[in-house]
Amino acid sequence: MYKLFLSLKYLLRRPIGYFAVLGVAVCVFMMLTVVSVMNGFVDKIERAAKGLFGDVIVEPAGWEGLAYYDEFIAQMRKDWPGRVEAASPFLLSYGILRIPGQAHYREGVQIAGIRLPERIAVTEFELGLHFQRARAAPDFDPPRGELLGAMIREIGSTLIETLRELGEPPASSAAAGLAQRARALTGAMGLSPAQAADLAAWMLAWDRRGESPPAQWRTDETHAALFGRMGELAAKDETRPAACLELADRFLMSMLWGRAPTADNPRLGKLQTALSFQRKGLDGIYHADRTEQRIAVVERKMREAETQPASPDEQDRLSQMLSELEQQRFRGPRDRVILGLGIAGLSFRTPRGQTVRTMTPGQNVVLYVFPLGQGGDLSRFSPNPHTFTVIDDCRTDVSSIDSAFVYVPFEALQKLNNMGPELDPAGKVVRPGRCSQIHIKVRPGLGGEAQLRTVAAGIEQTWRRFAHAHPDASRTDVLVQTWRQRQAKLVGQIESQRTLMVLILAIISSVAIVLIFVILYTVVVQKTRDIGVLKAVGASSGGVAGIFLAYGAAIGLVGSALGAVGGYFLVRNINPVHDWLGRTTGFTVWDPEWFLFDQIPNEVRAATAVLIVAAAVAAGVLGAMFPAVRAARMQPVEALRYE
Amino acid sequence: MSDAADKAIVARDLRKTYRLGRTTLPVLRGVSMDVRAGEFVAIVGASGSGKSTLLHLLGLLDTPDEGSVALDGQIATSLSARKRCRIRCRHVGFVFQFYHLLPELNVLENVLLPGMVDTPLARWPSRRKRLRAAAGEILDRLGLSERLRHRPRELSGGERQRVAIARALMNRPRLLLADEPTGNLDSKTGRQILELLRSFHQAGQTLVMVTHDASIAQQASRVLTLRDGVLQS
Ligand SMILES: Nc1ncnc2c1ncn2[C@@H]1O[C@H](COP(=O)(O)OP(=O)(O)OP(=O)(O)O)[C@@H](O)[C@H]1O
Ligand SMILES: [Mg+2]
Repeated sequence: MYKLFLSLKYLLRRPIGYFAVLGVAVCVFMMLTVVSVMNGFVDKIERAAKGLFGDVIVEPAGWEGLAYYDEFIAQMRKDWPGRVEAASPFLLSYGILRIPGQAHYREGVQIAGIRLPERIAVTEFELGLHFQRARAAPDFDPPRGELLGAMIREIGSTLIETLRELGEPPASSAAAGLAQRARALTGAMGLSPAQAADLAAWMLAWDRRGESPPAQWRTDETHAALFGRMGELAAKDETRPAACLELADRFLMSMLWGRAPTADNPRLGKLQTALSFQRKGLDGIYHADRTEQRIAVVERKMREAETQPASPDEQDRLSQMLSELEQQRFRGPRDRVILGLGIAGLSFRTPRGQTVRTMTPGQNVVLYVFPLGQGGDLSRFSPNPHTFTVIDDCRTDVSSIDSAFVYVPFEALQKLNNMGPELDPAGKVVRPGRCSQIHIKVRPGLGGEAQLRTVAAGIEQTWRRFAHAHPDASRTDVLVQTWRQRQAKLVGQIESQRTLMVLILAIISSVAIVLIFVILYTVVVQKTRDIGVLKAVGASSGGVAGIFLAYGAAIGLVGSALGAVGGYFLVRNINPVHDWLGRTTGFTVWDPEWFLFDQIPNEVRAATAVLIVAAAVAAGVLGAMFPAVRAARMQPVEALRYE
Repeated sequence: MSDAADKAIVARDLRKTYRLGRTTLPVLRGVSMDVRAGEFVAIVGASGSGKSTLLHLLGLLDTPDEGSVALDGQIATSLSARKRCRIRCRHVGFVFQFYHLLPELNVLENVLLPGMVDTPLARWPSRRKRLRAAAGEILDRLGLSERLRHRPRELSGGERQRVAIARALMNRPRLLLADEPTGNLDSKTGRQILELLRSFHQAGQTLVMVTHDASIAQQASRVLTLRDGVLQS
């Protein structure tokens, strides 16, 4: 009993012990922060790599690719039913992204050819999708109603952001017009009369000088709910979007009515540009059929113009019209693209941290694909342009991926990359279509690196047999690698960095042990007389040692608890803290370009925290060990004889 | 050996020699003494004659080079360290010249200390109340009930010595050993402390006191003089 009691008293009443506590706290704080962030790195890379490549990758050297991939996948599944969960071919190429109507925009991109929804069985690609995030099986052809709903919600969130940027409600506008509009719009939204009255009152109130809108309509949540509701309505019934579109439009207008001119505020200008782009995308989706009909009409007229001599002006006019319509056209499922969220110029983040997309579903982009699969004469090597309609965007949280990748249907890229099946004039396949990689997901429970290597080795066997039967499947060597091997450079780097950091911190932390040792030793020397007294009242040597061991452990425990709590809060808020540091000191440690992620990992694993705290307590006991032994060995009689 | 039971201390031929480098300093050269239960024995002698050394041997705080100490008929010198600690804790109380209170603890906590040492952690919750009551009672008898929460540095010398006496009596030991308990106090306070100890003796407490004050020694039922490493009575 007295051991615990005295150690606690010493902890509380000997200020010198506070230094030891502080030292331990600082060490634990640093350790927890660094290890958590580093673990976060490795986790993110793992997730991103698996999100892109699956667990095991089959990849030929060079760019010529791998043929008979579907057959090989079938063979793999047959050979390893207990190991292979799913597999999907993947194509990788490079190209340039352009936007019709924006002559100056060009951006080098990596183009991935993927099969959706097949790919979702292999990777966690779906987790990063934005517009289809609610769908069970996202693909390149989501139902138009759902897409419209998602788009309206997107516009809604951009609008809310615009409202926030605008700040105070407008001072004046035409009250009567607003009220009427509000009534019409709320009717279209399918709101109840009470809600409609509320909304009308709100809009009116905004219009009147000095009167604030009813509280229940003023929150961002209300706005979000409003647009959510609109989105729902749009998704349910394809005839409704017209009304909702109107509503969104007019809502926007009424909000912007009489507000500060955009020129004064570049952020507002950017938001409004984004809104107009989003609006264009929404139109593209909503009016897809009408555009299609118009194109048919123009094409018919052009054919007529060819057969009947018409004025060149008329022909120019028609082709001009056609190219405009082509730009608006909502293309079929083969000609669609999912953009990485982070490609320059296609989205931005507001100071409030909201991501605003200018390039949304429904808009078109042109990809100039370098046909890397093409062999032979390089002088005939020229990019294949193709227009795609944006259908979604995707983020992996690894900025080097998100800022560079676009995803198009596998078969479409195969053609553009000159890797599609080659036919002879009779229509017979002389060379089958090729892919650049095959991505494999293993059965649950086989995810460990050692197990993955076993799986990879098995797949390699299958490949060798397969290559024997199909000598033309690949002209080069084929590698079977785990995701970790494939990303070895990156993962290895970060893991060795983590090890290094832990090592450095461990060395620093040994200072804590020394600190505890020195402080406890001092205390023991100072307490010689007390130790004598304790022995005089019957404490055993072990008991005296116990006091100081408990003291050391208590220093470790209290220090590490403080450090762990501090570390936890820092890690959890590391991004705001970092932003704040950057703003106030202009000093950024974290360059997203450099560090691959746009966010610093901010998760603390319970196991890590427990381990570090345990280590700190152990360090406390360790540091206390020698002083405790010395205290136990002390002969009390001398100390007691004098003052 | 029927009279062994009422012998509080039986010391036989105690020898203790300190070595300082090459020179040896024989402090005790064969001390034998008996103390009956309830007796008040004073040990006197010149400074450096080995009084404290002897007292520490009798209280099992130190081990003799030769000879034996039996407390209450039990030969303690041959016991294990654990048992000696237990005897020291339960049956022997020490009072020192310089009080030796723990500065981090308040009066009550200092007095409770022997009680805590005697109580394993698991038993503490059930004993706490009783021990606190006992400590309160002793402090009350010593007139310190107002100072329970004070730290030793806030007390006068006499008060500190009274706290030390309370601590020594906390576990109701059969034997109280006092090493010049008044040596550091002015004569008036010293007399008060002595009065206190005498009153405990009159209530049946066995008391062995080291002093070199002859007037104090006179009050004892027996005076032993330590000279040249042996007792002369
Ligand atoms: N650890 C030690 N090493 C060497 N000599 C010691 C040690 N402890 C005590 N002595 C010596 O033993 C002798 C007896 O000391 P002790 O303290 O018992 O005397 P004392 O009679 O109590 O004296 P005083 O009246 O001054 O308190 C002294 O000469 C002292 O210097
Ligand atoms: Mg002495």
